[in-house]
Amino acid sequence: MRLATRTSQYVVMILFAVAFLAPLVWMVSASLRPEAQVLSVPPKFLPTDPQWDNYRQIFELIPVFLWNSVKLAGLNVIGILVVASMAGYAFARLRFAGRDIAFMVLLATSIIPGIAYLIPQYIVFRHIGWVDTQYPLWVPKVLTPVFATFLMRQSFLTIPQELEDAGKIDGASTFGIYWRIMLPQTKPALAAIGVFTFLESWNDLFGPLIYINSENLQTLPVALAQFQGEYFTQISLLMCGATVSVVPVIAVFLFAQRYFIQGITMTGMKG
Amino acid sequence: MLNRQPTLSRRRVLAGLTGLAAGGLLAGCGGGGEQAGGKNGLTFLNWAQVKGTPLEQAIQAHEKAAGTTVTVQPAVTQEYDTKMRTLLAGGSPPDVMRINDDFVRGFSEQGALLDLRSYIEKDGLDTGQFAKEVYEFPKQTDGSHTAWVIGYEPRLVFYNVDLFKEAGVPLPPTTWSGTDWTWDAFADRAKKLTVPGKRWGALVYLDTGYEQTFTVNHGSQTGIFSPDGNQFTLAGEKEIEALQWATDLTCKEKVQPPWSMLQQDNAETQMFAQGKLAMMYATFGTVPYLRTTIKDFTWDVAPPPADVEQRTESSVIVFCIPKAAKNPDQAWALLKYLSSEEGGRILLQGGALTPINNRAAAALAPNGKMPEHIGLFGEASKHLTATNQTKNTLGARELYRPALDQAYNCEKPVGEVLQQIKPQVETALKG
Repeated sequence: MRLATRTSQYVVMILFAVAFLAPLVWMVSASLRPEAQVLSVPPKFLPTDPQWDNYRQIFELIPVFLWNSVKLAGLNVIGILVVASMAGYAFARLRFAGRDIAFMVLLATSIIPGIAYLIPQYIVFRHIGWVDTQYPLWVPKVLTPVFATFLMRQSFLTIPQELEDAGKIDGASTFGIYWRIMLPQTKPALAAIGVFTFLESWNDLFGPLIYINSENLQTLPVALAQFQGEYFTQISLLMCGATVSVVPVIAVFLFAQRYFIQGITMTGMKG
Repeated sequence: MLNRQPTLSRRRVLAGLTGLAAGGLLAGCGGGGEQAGGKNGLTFLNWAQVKGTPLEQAIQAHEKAAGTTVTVQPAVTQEYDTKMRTLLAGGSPPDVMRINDDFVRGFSEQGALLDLRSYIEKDGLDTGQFAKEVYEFPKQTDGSHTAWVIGYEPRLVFYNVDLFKEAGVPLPPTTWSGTDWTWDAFADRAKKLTVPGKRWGALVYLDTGYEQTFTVNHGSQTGIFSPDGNQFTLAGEKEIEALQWATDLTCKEKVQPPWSMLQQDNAETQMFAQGKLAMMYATFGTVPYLRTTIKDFTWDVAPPPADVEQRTESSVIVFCIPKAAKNPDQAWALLKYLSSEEGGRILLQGGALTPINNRAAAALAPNGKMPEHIGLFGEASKHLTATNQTKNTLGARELYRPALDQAYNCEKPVGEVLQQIKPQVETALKG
């Protein structure tokens, strides 16, 4: 009976794994096929004549876009971790007038869909000379990390008060307590935010499209979109680019996997 | 606890991260873009990559001749329209902008586009040199000329010559002739070319271009919408008959790929390139893809089969000058060049569009490449249907095209579907 249950569990898990992996495998396979064979029916997963030249073409095209994406993802991750952890700590552990109202107002801002203030925001950025620069792609995000602040606040709330009290007795400053005692306890939340932020920045197509006009400032998602030509889509090259673009994402996830899962499960424990 | 040395020094990490961030900033993370526009230049927004295309060559030729600088801003995504609207509303549009033909009337009525009549008159432009139907497309009801067509992509029947020969079926005509190339002849050849489970004889129903072409050829005076853009004439008797004929190629004759097989981008061109489709009604823009992809068989093009008429719908390549453009004079000079004989001759080198300039279009030739009868795309200028304009074409399309799925999936007759959706579509057309 136990064996049957276990076997059925494995069968279900294998089915899910195949369902989730199939598109990824198809993407890699399509990236190595000649263009005419990409959408063959029935689908073939193993290319008979791998087209490695597709990757050579991709690496000739994307280095500048790749660098821009890496740079922006790095700035977003670092900036948001710093700002959100400080704000989260303040909302969770410091006492000041209007704290809870300020937190509610902060959460309320996330209700407004971005598209609703796109044009006013664009006009503001135009007036301060930020259009066709990369500032709109990281400065506003870093300065208003609502979800990350919420996550960090929840994480700080789970830490026993005694730890903070011990620091105070030893004469630590507020920043010292935050930095040396509290922050190390929130590594899982930091990892989760880091991964989420990285993904959001890495996959952001809309921001670069709207605010950037010059090709040398564009990012990888925009570069991939360029394979959708005026008259047809070069699917094999598009899949090549997509394969290259998911490698850093998988690497970041694997690197932060342990903390990331802890972070997701722990931050919802106490409100 | 405070005295314990951490295994990894956070101070070092912080210093490293700060250094990285500062380095990034210093390296120009804001980064100014390339200098755009300016006193002696203009900006040019397009939804397709321009680099390496004949359009880039034409722009460069204009830059050289006019001593100007054109800064191209490619915005290649499906969000192009959002970018275009944001730039217009934000008050800093480019000088020249590609515009979806479905938006021309709506944007014109909002007063966002510059009326080009004064330029046309001032320069005494000979408009007789242009393909009439597409030249007149941007003319509005008040007489203003709010956009500029530089070329168009007529739809023709692409066919696999080898499959015709293999099946012993006579090839389609090589001129714009309806003799022996009627709807019945087309369906008959499609049947002979079909090998069940292996290949399909023909593909007609795919996009709005087929709807316009086949309804007009069947005797409709208007096609999808009335000339004033207020009525959904696709739900008329003649129009329904035409669409039902195309649908029956799948549902009754079984010579056309099922609708479900065509829902992925490029599915039809891939089928054709793999030799699984003998005939396909598609735009001129398909040519570069087929030239690149097909290595092992001969293919060619033919006019659409004739019924009452033998016309074809074209996708138009339209640009506009926003009213708020900083350099409208230079923008006009560029558009004028792109529609000149010289500019058109450069544009046609890509083998993807017919220049609006008829003298340039006459130079369309295979030059040793397939299709052998590429000149038919140039001759299409005499066989064009008028392109529809409404205030809300996209809104109407979002209603009736998904509804047609039921017909294309052989669940309901075309007439029932279109009659049912007609009131909603006409409400949408009011804008």
